[in-house]
Amino acid sequence: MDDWAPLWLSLRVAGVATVVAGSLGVAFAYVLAKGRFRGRGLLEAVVTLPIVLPPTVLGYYLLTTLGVNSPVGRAWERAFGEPLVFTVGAAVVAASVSALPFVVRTARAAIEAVDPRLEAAGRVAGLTEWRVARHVTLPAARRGLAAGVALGFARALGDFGATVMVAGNIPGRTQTLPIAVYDAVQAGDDDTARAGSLVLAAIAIVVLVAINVAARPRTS
Amino acid sequence: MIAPASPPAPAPRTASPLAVDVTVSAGRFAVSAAFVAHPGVTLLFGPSGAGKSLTLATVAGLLRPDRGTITLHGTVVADPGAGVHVPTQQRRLGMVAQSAALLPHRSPRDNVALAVASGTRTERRRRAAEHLDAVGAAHLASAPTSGLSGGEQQRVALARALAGRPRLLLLDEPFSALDRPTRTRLRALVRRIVDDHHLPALLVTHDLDDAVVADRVVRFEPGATVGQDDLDRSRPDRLAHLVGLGETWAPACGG
Repeated sequence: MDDWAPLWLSLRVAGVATVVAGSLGVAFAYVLAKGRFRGRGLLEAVVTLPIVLPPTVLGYYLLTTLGVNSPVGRAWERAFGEPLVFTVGAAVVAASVSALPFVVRTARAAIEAVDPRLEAAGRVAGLTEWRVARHVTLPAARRGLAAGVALGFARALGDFGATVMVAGNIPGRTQTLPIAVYDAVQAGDDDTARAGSLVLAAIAIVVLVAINVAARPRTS
Repeated sequence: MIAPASPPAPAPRTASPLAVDVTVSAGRFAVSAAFVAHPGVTLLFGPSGAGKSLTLATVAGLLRPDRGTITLHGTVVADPGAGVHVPTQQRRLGMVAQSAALLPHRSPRDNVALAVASGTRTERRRRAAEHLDAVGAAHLASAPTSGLSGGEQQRVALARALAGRPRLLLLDEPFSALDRPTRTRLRALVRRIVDDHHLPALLVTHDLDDAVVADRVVRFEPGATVGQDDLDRSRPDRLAHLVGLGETWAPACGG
């Protein structure tokens, strides 16, 4: 493969998306794990939706939400002077939304697995709910949180459908590696398709192996 | 002096640091508990499954009672009838359970420092070191928390319980996972802490040997308290006789 720009773009987009989906995802996970409120089931369904929806449908909804005729799109254009859709920013949004449910589900399971006696001990010791979350629950769940964020990164890196819908396929600007692979296959450029696929598969395998190693109980 | 078994009538509320008269349920099990506690060690004694720990968790505010009131130092902290539930954090308690529940990712000193209510980070750590010293665990301040023995963990948990300047100590079978010599030493330590700080302490147990540090006993049968009696530490066999096990009890060796 001669042009590595799609790989660097993909890594940058996935990196920012991981920060966005990681922080939002852990917050959602905490609320879903601990909160008892009306509409919790609905919130969970909405957050999980990107796993089940066809990526094109997800992309379509993002396009209608963020497009130049939508309130969000207009507000963005007023603030930054250019539309959000078909920019690298839109690619970040698409990758973040695709990654979010993976972070939420993994992080939520980790938070729910924290020994409630640790949290009770914190409360009795006078820690506010915020400090219980910060000093007890989240640190105790940190390996599960890290696994969720890593999974989110892998998913963000691999997003195709939603990204191509809202960010398009502009070489050098919004063409991420999965899209470049698609382009290469369409153009009969087997070498590029093979190299790009290999890189994406290798990164995914490294991330997944790392998650499994980190999840293994430590022997002391 | 040894008072006769009295019905579980709440004593004058203003006089005692803790007055409990509640019913609390967990699933299909419910326990009704009525007793008062004074400075010193009050045993919550009874068979497993009687509802002693459930009662303790309710005093801690980790559970809400179905009915009744809990009064702590003159303040009603739980009264579902009046919609009162003071959060656990504001009840100023210290608790040590069977499992010490220390944070494995923090040092023993940091575990204790988290419970110190105010001050800069340095002050908190200094206070934590003092509390560890007071329970004979100064040398453990920076030890790996997950490597502590059972007795060491309970000492750190005691230091943490004291760090919040508690008005009431809640001890839920804190000695039951320890070997006998360690148990004896920790019992003496708890007694010294209670005396030094003039604290009321509730000690959940089904171990007759705990009578050697107790001033009073609240007897539980499955689902309810059935009486409250004064004990005499110099006559630890008194508890065994009260619960009808007089023949089986012998003083612990070296206890």
